[in-house]
Amino acid sequence: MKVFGTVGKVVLGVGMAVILWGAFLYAHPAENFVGESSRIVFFHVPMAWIAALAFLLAAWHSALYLKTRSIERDDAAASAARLGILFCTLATVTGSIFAKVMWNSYWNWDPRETSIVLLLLVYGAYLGLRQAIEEPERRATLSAAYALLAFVTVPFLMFAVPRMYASLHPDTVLNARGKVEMSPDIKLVFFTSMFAFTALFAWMYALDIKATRLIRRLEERAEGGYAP
Amino acid sequence: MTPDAPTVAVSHGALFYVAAVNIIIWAGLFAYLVHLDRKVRSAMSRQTPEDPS
Repeated sequence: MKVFGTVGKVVLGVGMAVILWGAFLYAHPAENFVGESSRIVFFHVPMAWIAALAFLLAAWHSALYLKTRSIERDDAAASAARLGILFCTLATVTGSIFAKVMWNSYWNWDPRETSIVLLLLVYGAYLGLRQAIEEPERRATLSAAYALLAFVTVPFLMFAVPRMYASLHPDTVLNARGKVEMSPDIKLVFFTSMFAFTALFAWMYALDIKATRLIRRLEERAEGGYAP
Repeated sequence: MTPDAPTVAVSHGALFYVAAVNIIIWAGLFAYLVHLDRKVRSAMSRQTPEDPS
């Protein structure tokens, strides 16, 4: 699976550097935020978006595994879940830094903070389940079933719970009025950042799937007795 | 936002410094990803014919 070649990587490398420059030196800080804290939106929101995307991919490949029984679908689901946890953790950490600046505390047990911790626990258990089962087919089947059930919690914990209770969290990008209320400079950097982070995720995901398949094949060879 | 939230004036120089640090971190991460990408590609190309990638 080749996501993008040398040109794509160079564009991503330079593009992300330009976004970082734009995030700090081009976009102006948003109103009603303490100091420069609003600049976290260029990193925090893309990371949360990628976490949701990765969990969706994990569920998609898990469903396909249960249908086709192709072990490569299990590799893809496991890679997506791993990266989902990584980006979800990064979104939590960036959110916590923002909370410290805005509300003088890293952690406030806000509905959004609490729900994201629950989500991390749900997907942490997925990785635990994978580690606990040695037999590949059984591991793949049980993990796929768990990933499908785990994904049911994603819309609830990421989108529903934070909107059902009063929260310190600022308006979402697409607010309750169905509008994206950002100044043009912030909007430009923000949507470019969303695109670049998605491309970065696509690259990392493809790389992780390839590495997972290589490791599995090496293990299969070792078990088959013809490992180098 | 809390009503008595302090306003923090940040100089352009400080923002330039933070941007530069972030770009350096990104450069390191990017170089590491390129390194991993090459490593995985070469490992895949070394696979035997009976186990094609």
